[in-house]
Amino acid sequence: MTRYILRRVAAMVVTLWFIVSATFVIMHAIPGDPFVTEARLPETVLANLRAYYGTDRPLGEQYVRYLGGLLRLDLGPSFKSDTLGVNEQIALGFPVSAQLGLQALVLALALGLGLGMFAASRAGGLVDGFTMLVGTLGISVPSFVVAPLLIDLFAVRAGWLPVAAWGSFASTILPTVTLAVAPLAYIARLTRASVLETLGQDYIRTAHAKGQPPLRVLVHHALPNALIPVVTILGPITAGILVGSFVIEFIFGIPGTGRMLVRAIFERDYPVILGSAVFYSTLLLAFNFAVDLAYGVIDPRIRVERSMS
Amino acid sequence: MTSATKRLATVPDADARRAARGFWRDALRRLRSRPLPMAAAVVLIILVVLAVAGPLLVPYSYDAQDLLNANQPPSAGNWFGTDDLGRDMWARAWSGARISLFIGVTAALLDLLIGIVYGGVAGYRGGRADELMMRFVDMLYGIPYLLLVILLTVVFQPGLFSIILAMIVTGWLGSARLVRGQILQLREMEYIVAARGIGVRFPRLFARHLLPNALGPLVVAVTFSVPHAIFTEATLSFLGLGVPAPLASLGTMVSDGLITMLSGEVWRLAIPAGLISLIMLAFNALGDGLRDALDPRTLG
Amino acid sequence: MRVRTMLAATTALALLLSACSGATTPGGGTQAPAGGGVLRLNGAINPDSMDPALIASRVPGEIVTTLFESLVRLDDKGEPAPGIAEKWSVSPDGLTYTFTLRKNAKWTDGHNVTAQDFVYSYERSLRPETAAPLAANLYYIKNGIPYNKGTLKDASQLGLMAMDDYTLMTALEAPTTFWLKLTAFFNMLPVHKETVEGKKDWTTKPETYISNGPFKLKSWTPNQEITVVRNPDYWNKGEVKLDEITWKMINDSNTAYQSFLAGELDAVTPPPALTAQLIKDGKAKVYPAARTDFVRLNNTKAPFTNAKVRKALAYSLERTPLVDQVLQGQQKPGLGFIPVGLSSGAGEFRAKAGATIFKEDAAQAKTLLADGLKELNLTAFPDVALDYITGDVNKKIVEVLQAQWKKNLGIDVKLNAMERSTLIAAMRAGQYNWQLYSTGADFDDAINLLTQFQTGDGYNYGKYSNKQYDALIDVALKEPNAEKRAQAMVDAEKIFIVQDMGIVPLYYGTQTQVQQPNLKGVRIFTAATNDYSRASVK
Repeated sequence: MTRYILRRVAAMVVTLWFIVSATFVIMHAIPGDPFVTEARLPETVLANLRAYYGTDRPLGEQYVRYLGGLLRLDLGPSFKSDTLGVNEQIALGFPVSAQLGLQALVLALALGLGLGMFAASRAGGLVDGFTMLVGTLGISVPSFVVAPLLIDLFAVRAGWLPVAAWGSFASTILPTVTLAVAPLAYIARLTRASVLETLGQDYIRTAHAKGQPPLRVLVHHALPNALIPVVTILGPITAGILVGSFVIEFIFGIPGTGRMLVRAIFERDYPVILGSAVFYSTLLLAFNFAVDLAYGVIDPRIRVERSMS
Repeated sequence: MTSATKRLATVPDADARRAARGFWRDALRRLRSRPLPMAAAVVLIILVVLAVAGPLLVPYSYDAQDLLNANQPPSAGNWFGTDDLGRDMWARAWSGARISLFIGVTAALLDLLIGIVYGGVAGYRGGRADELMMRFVDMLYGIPYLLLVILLTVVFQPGLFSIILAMIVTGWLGSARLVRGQILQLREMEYIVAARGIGVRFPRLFARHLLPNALGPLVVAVTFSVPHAIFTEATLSFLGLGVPAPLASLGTMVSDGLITMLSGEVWRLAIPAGLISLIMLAFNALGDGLRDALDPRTLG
Repeated sequence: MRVRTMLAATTALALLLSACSGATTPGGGTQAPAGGGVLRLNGAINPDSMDPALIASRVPGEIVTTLFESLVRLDDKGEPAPGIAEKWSVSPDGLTYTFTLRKNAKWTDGHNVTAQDFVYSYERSLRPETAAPLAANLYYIKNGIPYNKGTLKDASQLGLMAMDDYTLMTALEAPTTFWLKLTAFFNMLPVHKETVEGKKDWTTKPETYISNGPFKLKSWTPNQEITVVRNPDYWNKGEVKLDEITWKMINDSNTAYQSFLAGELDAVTPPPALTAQLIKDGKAKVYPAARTDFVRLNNTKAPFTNAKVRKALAYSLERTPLVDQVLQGQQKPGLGFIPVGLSSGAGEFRAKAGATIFKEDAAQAKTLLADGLKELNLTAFPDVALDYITGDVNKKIVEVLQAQWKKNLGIDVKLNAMERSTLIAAMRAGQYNWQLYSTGADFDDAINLLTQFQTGDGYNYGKYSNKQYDALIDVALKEPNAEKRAQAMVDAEKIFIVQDMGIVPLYYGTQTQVQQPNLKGVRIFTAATNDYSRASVK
């Protein structure tokens, strides 16, 4: 087990190094100089700026310096903001994005599982039809259409919730719902299919034949097995929620890391782009690692299979 | 091992192909018996036909402006109404669908092509080469997809092909893994070992034997990755990185039409958004149906 | 019924809370009674800086205009009114301005605002190490240019002098008729030396944010909001009615407008597609913006080296439908270069130069194009893509231009969407053929835009060059007589547009705002930052 963990950690470090290097190269291929704006700065001033941020040095040296900073967990200053460095920006933004993501995940899981199970138990009925409708609409309408629609209905017309302005719990409801729609739909469909399949199995028929109440059969016998496929897609779903918040944070004016990153890309704020790539990738890798470890604990067979592949 | 592959394992070249054909015929029969996937397939065919021929049915070009006739609701003259520059929405919607489908299909097929070559080589070689090649895939998997696509679109500058290129840079990873897994399984089959024994070379072996047998899951994967690419392009459009004017994809049209939620000409949003949803639904339903039809567990 | 009671209860609670906060507003006792209300605006994105010298964009400029006060502040009509300077005098040659500062102007730390503060602030803005993005606005000060470029190191040679604590003298390079107005601009606001030198992050916290204006910083939550609160020690506090101003940071313009509809914001710029209807319904206010949108032509690249081709492109457009049917924000067709509303120093420029100085004429354009191409030995209009910055409005404009040129000249123009930073980089490197662009004046004088097309000017990215034009601009820069100076600028514009057509002018921009009915007293200027410090919401 220890060897396995050590190997995985080593692989993660190599992967991270690769991602940093790749992003570094891509970023410097972007046409446009971060300090070049419409304003006419004299050459001396531009030179000062470049010297201050070290962009006048050879790319190789910038790269080594960046890796050095990374070892000290220092992601450097922002080219644009003179008050917030990259570390500060992530420290400010991530708790917000994490809260939003977590709320959306919980909502998607709770509602998705519930709807999926309920639909399966009444297959062919009204609830089932409704669930399938939600399940298909949820994955077929872009979130940038859902968001303004929800705002219009619940904030502008009904006046129940605030439009934007992150802060109170009420202000988090609309973005959470928007972000949860797609994974919710996906989970509901998956749960429904998987519960239906399990319900067809012999041991369930046996349980029914033994006269156990249907709800008990569903919850105690069918659900645990039906959940396995849902658990296996938790990783990709979480990653999707994490990245899906780019657009939603932008629309709702949420002070998270997604909005920060989109702005940084358009403004050529290299250190912020690099820093976020490093941060998001680390998060993703750590999360996948944790999921794998959890599998290993739950079911040793999976670990063997995975380490083989 | 299923009975079909068991049979395959013992028959020579021509018979194997015939057997594979039988497999596809079976799958098609199973697919035909299901109403939803069949409906989806019909819808898709209609959509594709309209995307190709739809603009020809009206006397307007998709980019011909008539400023005095802007923002007209659907009517006998303009079946889908006009947009804010007085362009015919029918012509625009279908040529937009054409662009979106082109992006989706091209990206999905290129993903598949790269995935087949990469995954095929890795799976067939196995051992150290496989280990290294798959490590590389794992590494690319660590980069958040949308972040990379945005970055690359900015690097390449938005354009029809640069968007497709940005999407396939990491889009092929899934199909590579899939192909490799399939090949890894098939490679140890007796008939493959036998074919190798009599000196059949890798490319031929791959094209004749390995690929046809791995094709089922790949077709399913493509059905799901087409709408994914269309959706990604729509997201890029929202961020202002979609296909540049005067080209219009459904994504750029939806993004341009968002404002009509406030200004009232909702057909400018509802029509392209509805088409995107229809395409997404149809591909997903077809994909679900294909998966069920091709699922080896349902093989008799 | 239950809902209604609960509502009543919450309203009562809210009233109670607001009463409490009124009683404990920072500053206490000395200020005018609270209850002036809070003004809520949209700042779109987090300011990169809140240091007046380092700001380069509009909204942070707006914010610091409420936090600081310069020598003068623009009044309702956009004319300079006494600010920290009580009065001033100008030498007969127009080169020296002497300001007498008021003795009751204070920094928020209690110290008096002195002439040395201004000398320090302007010298700091010009210092190359500061890298102030808009330092060019201080180039009118004697020796400002060499000091900013780093060729002159001796600060005492700058045209800035504190005669005593309350007397400031500025010496200029040339008689600059608009100097007074310019000192009201946000990058000319004074800063507090001890604060700026001592604490690197002074702008982030209210405790260290020492200012001297109508408001002081209350809080800055990055990416969320900035709130400023009435400054009880402001010398002119009687004119300030609001208790607080908050800038929220919502970047999506549709969401911002929805916030306005829901009553969460008091004023926003509506999304362009809505302006027409809002103006028609009388809900939006339109202000001139001293901005010209045009197609920049690279005068060094064929076919734009040929004046006939350039004229053909300009004559063949139909600007009225572009403005009325597409932009719909009451912009004016641009049949000249200098936008309406901008001053010539002797009255409005367009009134002097004529509203239009060339005519649209498709037939003539066609002939001109054919002749021009022949002179260039070209058989057809070459395949050069028109660059534009991605965005809804820009996209619409270039699509209209494309269609009009096709219709009236029979040419197929390719379009090339570029991201803002990329387009600017290409523009600065001269690696482009033509591009959609827009230029606006920082201060209310036509010279601000005209110098951009002088040979060798840092902003002359189209490489337009004409000796007569250069000479006329030089006259306008040095001539103390306002009438003669204005005439030189009018003549220069004629050469630039009528004779050479160095660019293809499109239209003169406007700015539109929707405001809640109770919002009064906002100062929106043609060519200066909006001033919200005298607004009220009661």
